[in-house]
Amino acid sequence: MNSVNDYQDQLVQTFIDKYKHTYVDIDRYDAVHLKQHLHFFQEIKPVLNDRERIIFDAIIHMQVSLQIHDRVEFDFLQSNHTHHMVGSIQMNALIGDYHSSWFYKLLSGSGELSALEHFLETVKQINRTKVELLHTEDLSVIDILDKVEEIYIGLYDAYALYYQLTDYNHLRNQIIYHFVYSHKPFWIEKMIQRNGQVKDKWLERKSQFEEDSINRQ
Amino acid sequence: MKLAATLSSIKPEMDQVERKIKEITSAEPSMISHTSSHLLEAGGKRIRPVFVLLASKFGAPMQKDVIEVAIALELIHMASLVHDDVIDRATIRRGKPTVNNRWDNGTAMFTGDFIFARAVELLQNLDEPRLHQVLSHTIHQLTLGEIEQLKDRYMIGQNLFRYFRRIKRKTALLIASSTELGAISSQCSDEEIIQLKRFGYYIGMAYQIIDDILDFTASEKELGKPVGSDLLNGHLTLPAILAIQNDDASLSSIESYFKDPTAYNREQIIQTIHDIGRSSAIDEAYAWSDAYLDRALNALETLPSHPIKKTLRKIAIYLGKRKY
Repeated sequence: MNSVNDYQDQLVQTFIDKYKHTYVDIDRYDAVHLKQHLHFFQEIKPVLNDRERIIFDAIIHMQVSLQIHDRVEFDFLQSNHTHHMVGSIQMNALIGDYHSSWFYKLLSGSGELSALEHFLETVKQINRTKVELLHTEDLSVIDILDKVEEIYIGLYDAYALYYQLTDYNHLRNQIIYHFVYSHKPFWIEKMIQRNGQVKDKWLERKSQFEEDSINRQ
Repeated sequence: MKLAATLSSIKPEMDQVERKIKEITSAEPSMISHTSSHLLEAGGKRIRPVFVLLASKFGAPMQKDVIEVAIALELIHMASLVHDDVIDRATIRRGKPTVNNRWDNGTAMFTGDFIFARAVELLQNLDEPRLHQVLSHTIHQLTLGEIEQLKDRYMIGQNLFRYFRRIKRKTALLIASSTELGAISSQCSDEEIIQLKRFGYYIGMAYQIIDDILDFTASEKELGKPVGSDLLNGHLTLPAILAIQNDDASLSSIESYFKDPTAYNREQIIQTIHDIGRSSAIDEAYAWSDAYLDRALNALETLPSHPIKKTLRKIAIYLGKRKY
């Protein structure tokens, strides 16, 4: 078990060593989530050739970017910002841009333009969904949870689709459970604040995921 | 000199660019459409599309690709502005409320991310991988410049090298990419592409220096934001760097403000901004801008004879001498 964990830690370290900007502190990265993303994307397609490795790195950059930009929204919501904290939130905005530029640079630099086109569609859709969640008042509770799931699973679906992987559903449920139901992520917290019924439905789905997981074992 | 008159030769194409940007932004679901249109309506000089179109005149006659490239460049600029406003906590841009002010930071961040993806997607249909290579390199450099700018914020000990490297990444490379991509998309020769890129780069440097000067010398009405916003936000730009070198009172005032920007007497720093705007640092900064402008004009001279050279020269001079 430890050796798997060590290997995953090493993947995180390798990614950070290779791509982290000199001026950016390592603790700005959510190492736990990064480790999970690296793990799940690798689970989807464990063996990669050199070209596929570039696509893998690019997709991790975009996932980091999308996630860190969520923190800009939610950290600013907290009151009593200190001068230092504001600087920290601002840096998160820039780190997100920096990693999305890596996504573009890696794919265009290696001539993977069809992959670029494929994933851009998903990036657009995820951002549409985020804006919709922030501004659409009359979404049903089910719609809200579907859309939150879409934010977290969007790039995974796109990745599996890009390689036309058909046997992905079980892993897909694990990923959704991990990012949306194993704890309350930003978006769930935010949606619960707006509509208390989201919490009941969220708990219901969480139980359903857990039950399905037990029945499968 | 009126910019519009100088650009009359590309007015039909610029109208097309403007119309298509509107079409693209209004085709989205309601909120993305609202926020993007809000950005678009704030206006701007659209200098990136202008340079794409003008540079393309050296190549094959007008092609659809050129318009798409011009639109993509403007969209990328818009995306970077909406994120800049979040970072600077800006409330007004060009006299209108910023997206983060009118809505919220999340909406601004996600709109920016959406526009960026849409801009890159526009180039997908063009059969020229070099466009992506140039643009992705530039965007990456742009993000490096932004991180450096934040790192340098409220830092008094900055030299000219740091400043010039920052504005190169922050502004000049995107304008250089505009002329370079305009040239690539109209199949200019390699030598023409290099010279047009150089022209764009030097103009970009001069343009940003002028922008930084105007932040001290123009009025709030002309700027569409408070005078001295850069310094108030902790950014040390060329006039302030030069003023610090020449004047101990400016150094002391800025140093105190940077040490504690929240508690320090705001009136004093506003007075310093006013003093810098009337100091010799402004003339020195103009001299730097003129030097870059001269280099841009020299790069222009190396290009083949073409009627559009006259227009590029006029625009270079206009941008180098603009008052707001």
